[in-house]
Amino acid sequence: MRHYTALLKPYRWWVVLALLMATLTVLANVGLMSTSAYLIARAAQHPYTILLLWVPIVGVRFFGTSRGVFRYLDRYVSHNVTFQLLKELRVYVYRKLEPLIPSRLQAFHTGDLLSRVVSDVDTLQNLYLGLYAPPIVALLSTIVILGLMAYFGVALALVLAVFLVLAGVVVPVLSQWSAGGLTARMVQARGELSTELVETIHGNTDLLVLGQEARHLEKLGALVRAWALRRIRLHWLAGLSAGIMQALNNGAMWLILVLGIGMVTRGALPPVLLPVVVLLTLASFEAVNALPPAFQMRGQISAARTRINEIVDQTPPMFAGQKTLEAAGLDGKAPAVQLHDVRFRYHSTTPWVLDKTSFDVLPMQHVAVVGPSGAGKSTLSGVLSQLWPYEEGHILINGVELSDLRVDAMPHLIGVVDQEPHLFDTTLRENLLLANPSATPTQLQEALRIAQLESLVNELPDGLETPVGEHGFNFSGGERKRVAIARVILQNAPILVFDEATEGLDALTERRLIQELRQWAKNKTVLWITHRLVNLDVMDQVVVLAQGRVVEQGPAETLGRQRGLFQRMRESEIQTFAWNADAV
Amino acid sequence: MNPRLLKEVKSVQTLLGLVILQGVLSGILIIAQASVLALIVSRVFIGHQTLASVQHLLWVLLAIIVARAVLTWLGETGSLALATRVQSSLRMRLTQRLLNAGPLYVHAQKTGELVNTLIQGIEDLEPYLARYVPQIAITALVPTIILVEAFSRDWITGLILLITVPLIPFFMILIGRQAESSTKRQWETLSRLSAHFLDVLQGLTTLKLLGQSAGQARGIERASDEFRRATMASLRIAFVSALVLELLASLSMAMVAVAIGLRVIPGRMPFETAFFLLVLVPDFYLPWRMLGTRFHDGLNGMEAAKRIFEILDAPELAKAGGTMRPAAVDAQPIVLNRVGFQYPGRSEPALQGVSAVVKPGERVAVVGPSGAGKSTLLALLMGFAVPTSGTIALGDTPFTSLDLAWWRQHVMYLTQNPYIFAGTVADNLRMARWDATDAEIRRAAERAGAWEYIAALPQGWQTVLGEGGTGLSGGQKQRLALARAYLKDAPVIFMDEPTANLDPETEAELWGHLEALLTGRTAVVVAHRLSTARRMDVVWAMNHGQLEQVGAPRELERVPGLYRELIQAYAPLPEEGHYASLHRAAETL
Repeated sequence: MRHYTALLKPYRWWVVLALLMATLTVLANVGLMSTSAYLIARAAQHPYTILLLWVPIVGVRFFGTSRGVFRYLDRYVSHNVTFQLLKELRVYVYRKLEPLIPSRLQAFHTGDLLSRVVSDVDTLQNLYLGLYAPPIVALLSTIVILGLMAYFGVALALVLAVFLVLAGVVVPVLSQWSAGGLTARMVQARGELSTELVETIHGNTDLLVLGQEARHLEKLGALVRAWALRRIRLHWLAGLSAGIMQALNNGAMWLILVLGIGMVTRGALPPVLLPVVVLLTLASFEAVNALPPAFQMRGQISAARTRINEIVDQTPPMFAGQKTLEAAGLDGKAPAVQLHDVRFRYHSTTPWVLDKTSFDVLPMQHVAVVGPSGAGKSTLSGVLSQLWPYEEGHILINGVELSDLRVDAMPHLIGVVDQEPHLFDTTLRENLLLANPSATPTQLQEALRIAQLESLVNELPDGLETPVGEHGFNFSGGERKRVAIARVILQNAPILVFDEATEGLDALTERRLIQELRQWAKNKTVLWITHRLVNLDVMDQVVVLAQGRVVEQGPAETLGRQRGLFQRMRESEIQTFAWNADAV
Repeated sequence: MNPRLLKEVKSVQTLLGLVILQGVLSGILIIAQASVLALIVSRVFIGHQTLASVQHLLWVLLAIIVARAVLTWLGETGSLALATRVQSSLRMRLTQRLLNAGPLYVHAQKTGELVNTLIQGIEDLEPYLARYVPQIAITALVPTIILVEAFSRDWITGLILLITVPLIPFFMILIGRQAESSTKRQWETLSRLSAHFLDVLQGLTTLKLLGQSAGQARGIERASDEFRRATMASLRIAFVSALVLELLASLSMAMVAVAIGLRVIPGRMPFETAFFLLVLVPDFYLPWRMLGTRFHDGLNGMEAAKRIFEILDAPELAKAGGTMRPAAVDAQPIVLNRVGFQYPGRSEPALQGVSAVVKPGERVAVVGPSGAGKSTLLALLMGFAVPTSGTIALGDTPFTSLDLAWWRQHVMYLTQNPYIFAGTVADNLRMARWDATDAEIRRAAERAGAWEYIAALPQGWQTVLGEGGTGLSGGQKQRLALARAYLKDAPVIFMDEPTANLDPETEAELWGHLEALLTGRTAVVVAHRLSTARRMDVVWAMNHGQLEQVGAPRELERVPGLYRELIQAYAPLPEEGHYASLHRAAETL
């Protein structure tokens, strides 16, 4: 927890101000009630002049007005602190995650994982407002209240202290403790119930086909009853603790009244102060009101923190390469790429994805990489761009070991259009400029032309300023791919890897795109990863991967005659009716 | 309060009665407590009585305090418990309705949103029913009772309270509305910021490939700061509502205190009354403040209730319509006579004027571009809905008088994405036939080509599979579905190209097992591949919801028409010799 708290440090004066305002809000109410009681008690003694009431009247008016102001300032300042904290949390988590993606976070489903990180960060923003502020405010205001009460009578202060601690700490802790086991069982019951409910929807067809309606309802009914039973027991506890909290507030008042009457009888307390101590007690419980929710918040926050730590505390992968491209003699001309017995796996317990993969690509050669799904095609692009480190074998770029090169030099060496290129939720132009912030309008236009986006952009009313939407969903899959292609053209690296770049395109556009792209990239080394096998005659070579190994290699025409895996896959593809070409 | 929630759910009426009772009782108890307290303090302070002489009053006060605590306890527990009952009953009703509505309805919805309503939406009803609704009752009752009592004791105090009464809701609504929209905007910007953060994290790989990942921390910081400044500006206004409400409550307290204080001096008001009023005033404003906070707790539940009733109104498309159960299902033709179907709320029919016959033992391939109505046709044959025009009949029995649930017991339907339920492999298979013996299950799994991998699972067929069969590949799930089909042993099979999502090797293997299943049964198969169509006896070529061509596959290939267009539409580069390779391919499979 400490390093998250440290994030608040630059804002400590804001924090102090927020705490002060929150405390004053509570105290203003206590002041209002006490001075009001004093006012009428003093008035009941029929003072000879109203001037004697001048001080309590001013007090009443002051506290009555100031409470709203304090409340307002408290709200404002503490929210400012929260937002600052949120910003610091995000930057912190980003800095920690940056080196871990994608190589260390493969084990998780990254999509879910990242949304969880984001919502956990959102939970952690309550660190100040939900977790730290309530006990501090409670403590500060309790000290003042008890000090005031001690002035009237030490015994009264002691009694009040005991009741405040009971209401603010003991009861919430006890009720959480007694609900602990029940809550866990309830969460489990809810989990089972959720599974069953999800199945109603996702398994709807199969439930009907298999005639399971009655059985499903019966099973669900049992789960709902089990859930409700646990839930009601929890409710019973929740109601009980609400009742106890109220009893403590009024009970404290009762006991102080009894003690006060005794003191008045004994002459230890001026009678005029009896109404004051009674109302002071009633008002004082606002000081501890925020504590029970803070106890609940603690669980949520520590769960969120644990989850985030689990992720960000992983050791980043070692990319130890020190050579710059200049030092390695890679001057921007298309290099040769050679793979010798390269082995790679996502995790030390999972099978090899690339298993002694070997093939050579000459400078300026265009090579298609094909193979059944799971053959390791897409992994190749990650390994070549040093997103993932290969474990064995060699990848030589013009004879230089890839892992000796600095990882931050990779974008200048290799451009990748990966299988699911990410478009950021901003304009088309900003997405393109990400690859080359200094690209000229002419370069942009050229990239759009090659990527077959020109007519699309011209048709858009806002042209390049069109927002692409979340994940680029304003555009179709094929359009998103082409934006990524335009981006990689602007990046202008000497080696290019296209992973299923023409997916979702109609045959005509696909053909044109390939022609333009090949023309533009004629001086570059290109790997063309694809599952579409019918247009590959234009490539210099085809490499067929299966289970991480190269099983066939050669020009498409030669492979077609061999009747091996390549030809079998191609035949199956032709078999598919056209209307499904994209779905398969 | 959602009127249908009140009307249709009994527990809600009980709940409402309970909270009204609680409101009245707590109003009375608050007044009782204040009166006794004022009496005691006044007797000691003004009347100089001793502890002993007010002892009995103190016990009465304690009794009231205990009664209030018990009331709170029972009230909270009661309303929470009733909320749970409402939730339970709605969950069951929603599930029942979704089963009656069937896949045609479910798949027309956003399934993620449906799941969310069923799980989170129902959960959200609890704060709405158990916190917000009772608070409304309390806010309506307790201040009113206090107001009446205040008037009866002192009309000036009553007037001060009465003036602020409409002011509070007025300001709550006036500022609340502004605050709500600006709070809403605030949450929108906040969630947009979260979305931006998520966007950057999800695009980190792309950023790395483009060499831009290092600079993004700055970007996040800048965006956060901009959002913060904008949000704080709008919050400045939103928090005014807190200011005004707080001011109203505390200022009127101050006004009451000064007003009565000044009348106590000349003895125009006894101390007891003054103190009584002073104790009562905070309790007058407390419910209003609580209402503000609980309103937000209840907001999601209010929205959820609307959506829940929408789902409860879903058309019961798949509900068994009739009771007829004709004999000898396997000897009856399935007759389609001008079948048309229009989805509720759509302007275009999905199917129109489809007339055809599936003879017993005949195997039909349905082909056509996406949107041609192929899947709708299968859904109608399955009895997931009845045609909106024309009829489908089993022999002489129209589907409208058929017991559709019974019909579904005699047919099997294989989809592209079979659903695997949470539970063991054996449970998943037994769903097809509950009385199946272990030997029968094994035999079915073997025939489906599933036995090998089932046996390799950690606990064999007792291995527990996760929701949706997580961890199983598409081919493995498809084999489980096939094993279910073998177990069910239905005379009629409907299939929606079950191998469409599989790689060629797996597909070829699975077809071997499918072929065996189809032998000797009536089948209607939606075909996405030419090879599939060619395996069948008859092809139905569909387009725009209409049946355009019927005939044997080889014959249709020779005549111009939709079927031939579909085959030819897949156009690789012309110089590739497409037809040669196509025919060669067809021979090999």
